[in-house]
Amino acid sequence: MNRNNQNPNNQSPHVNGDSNDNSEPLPFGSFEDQLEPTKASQTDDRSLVAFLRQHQPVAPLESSNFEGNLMAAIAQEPIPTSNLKKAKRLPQIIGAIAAGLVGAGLGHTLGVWTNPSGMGAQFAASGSESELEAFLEDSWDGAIAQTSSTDPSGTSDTSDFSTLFWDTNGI
Amino acid sequence: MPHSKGVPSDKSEPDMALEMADDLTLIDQCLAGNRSAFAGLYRRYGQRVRSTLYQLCGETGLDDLVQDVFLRAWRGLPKFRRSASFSTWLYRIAWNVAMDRRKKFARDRQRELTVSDPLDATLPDPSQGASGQWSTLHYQDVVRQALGFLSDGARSVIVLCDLEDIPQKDVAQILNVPVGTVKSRLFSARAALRQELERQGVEL
Repeated sequence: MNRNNQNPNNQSPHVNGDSNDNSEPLPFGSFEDQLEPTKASQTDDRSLVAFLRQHQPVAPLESSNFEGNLMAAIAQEPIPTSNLKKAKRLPQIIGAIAAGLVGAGLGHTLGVWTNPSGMGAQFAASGSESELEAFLEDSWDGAIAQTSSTDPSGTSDTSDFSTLFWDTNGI
Repeated sequence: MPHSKGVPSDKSEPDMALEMADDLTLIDQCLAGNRSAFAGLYRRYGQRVRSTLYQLCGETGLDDLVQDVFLRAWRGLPKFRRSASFSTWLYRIAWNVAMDRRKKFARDRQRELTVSDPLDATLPDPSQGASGQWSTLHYQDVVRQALGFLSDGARSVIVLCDLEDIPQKDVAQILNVPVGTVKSRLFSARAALRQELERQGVEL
């Protein structure tokens, strides 16, 4: 409840601190400064607080072995762990998975070229570019011929190099 | 509580270590799996939390409330931001627990106030020269009833600022409001409390 708005004629310091009026802007902290009690109210507050502290209701003593029961309850709780730590580990986990996939892909590719029974082995053994070209041409022609002979429609699709490549590895 | 030099202590070394360690050290030990370190935190703040909860919620189920606060604190230790003090954070949990309880038993509170009314007639009148223990008990009951007369927000700032003597900036953090709001609430709460106390015959 804003009492200042309800009583525009109120000349208490609170009125000047209200941001809804059209008065000049007050310097930073003015509103809080005006909430500071006057000397008279400070005296009243001191007597009130002193009375409260002197006569505040005293909490009853805790039940016997309360601490033991509390620690027994704590013992049944798991060790608290930070979700933040788990979140921080998420990129590492994703990175590890990605690295694994890349590694597997590379390994697979290298396996094609280094497999003793594959075309890579032939290339590696000869070391000759001309032999490699001849091998590729033979493989290419053979693949086309095989596809043509097995395709009853006679419309072979030779554009799918990936199919040719992956089928030859035999792994 | 620290003991004087030269007085033999019946406390074990682990207990002494718990007392000597600061809050952050104990928290680190808790997070490392040392549950006994949490006992050090309880011994340090348990009574203050208990007192605050009592002022806010009364005696019914007080042990359960205190246990709830410390269980929540244990579970929430990883979320504790070390920019604030542990006591402020713990008071915040206590205040949340207290407000949960008060909301849950709002109807019961209304019934308790109604039931407690006949008690007023049995209390001695301080204006008739009551003194000693009776007077103290009477005034404690008057304060208790006057606190119960306040709204939750007003009662909270009175309990935290005036009874527990917590700095206003810390109370602002506990209640998650600006310091200016704490000041204004305290101003209004004190006025209402003073009026209620005077209505019950207390001269301040």
